[in-house]
Amino acid sequence: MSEHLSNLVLDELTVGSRPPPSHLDACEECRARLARRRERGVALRATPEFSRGKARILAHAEAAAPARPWFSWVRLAAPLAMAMSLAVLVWVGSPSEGTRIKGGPFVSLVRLRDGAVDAPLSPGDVVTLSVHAAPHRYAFVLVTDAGGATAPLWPSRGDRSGDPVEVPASPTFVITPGDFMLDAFFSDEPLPLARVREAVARAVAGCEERGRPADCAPPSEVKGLARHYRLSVTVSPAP
Amino acid sequence: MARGLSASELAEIYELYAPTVFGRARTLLGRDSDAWDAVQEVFCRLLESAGAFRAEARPMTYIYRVTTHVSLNLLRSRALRDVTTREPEPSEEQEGASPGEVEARNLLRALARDLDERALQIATLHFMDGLTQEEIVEVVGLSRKTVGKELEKVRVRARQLTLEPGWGASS
Repeated sequence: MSEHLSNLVLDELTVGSRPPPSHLDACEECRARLARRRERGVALRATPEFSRGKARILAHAEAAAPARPWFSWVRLAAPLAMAMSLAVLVWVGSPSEGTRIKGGPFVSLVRLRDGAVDAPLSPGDVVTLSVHAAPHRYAFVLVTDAGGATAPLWPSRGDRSGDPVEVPASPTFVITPGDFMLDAFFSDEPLPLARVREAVARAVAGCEERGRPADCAPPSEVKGLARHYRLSVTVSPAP
Repeated sequence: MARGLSASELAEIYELYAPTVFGRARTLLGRDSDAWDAVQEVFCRLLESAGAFRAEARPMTYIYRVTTHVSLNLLRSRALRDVTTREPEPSEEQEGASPGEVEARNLLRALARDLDERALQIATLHFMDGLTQEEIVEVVGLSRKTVGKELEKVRVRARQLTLEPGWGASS
């Protein structure tokens, strides 16, 4: 690797979260890179987009309060989770009112133990699925395990996409051994389960044929789909 | 305020880290509008995991991890949408980017067709950010051995790509 400071170190220096290394005194190039980063930061903070983004995220946080104590999720999740082999869904009541903000739809897994988002997981971890469909209305989330088996994760019932606002529930489940992936299909009209499941199955089968990991290719085109989002999750043995 | 962050804390975190998030996303995605989308998404995630963010010994590693993940997802989504458009808005893409950044981004786009998500994230940290193996281990939270294996795979594929006819023509 380069003998110069990495971007990570330069960014840490920019926000003042580490003392300057001695290399900086000796390297004109790294000093110039650091200065450029600082200048760009100052310029960006002066833009209207920066202020608008800050206002949006503060409004989003305000709308999401008050947060439900996380231990209540565990209390409800643990007994059921222990009884299932892959993923047990536990409906834990209404989350806060959904706020549709700019930023693209996505799903994420939040580990209840420490709040880590989309982190590598270990068997036994209890996680909750967070579904953000905005700016689209409907979402369908499928889970595919290491063996290539695909099942609907959210909504867990029914055969059509759900509206995260109208179906106010977030599934909580316990992690079992084996990597898995989540495929989220976002749309403006509900999508049938068969259509999205077939798209995932075709993609997985194509990867298997080529001897590649199951997440090597995105699902094929799905009629009515607005956005697709994939989250591949590594499950490592507990340390 | 959600998940234990006060409004003033959140505003302070945004002021401090949003330029880094935007800069990384802009370098990877090449468009201001996509980079702002990534900023929003990253801070939504940060809101949901304030505890994890606070617990980080090096908070910037969290910012790198989540920003890279979000940006690569946007990049893949865009690749699906723009499947017929090989070169999106070159004038905007080149603006403000160093030749090294442009080259790294082109390489990552080519690698995105072959690598899985984990390998692509490691490739980004290696080629675009110049992170050492130790720093990559810190950012992605995988073992040194796993990162080493992935890096080797990434380097081999990158070498193959740069030897292919036509490589660099779009740079």
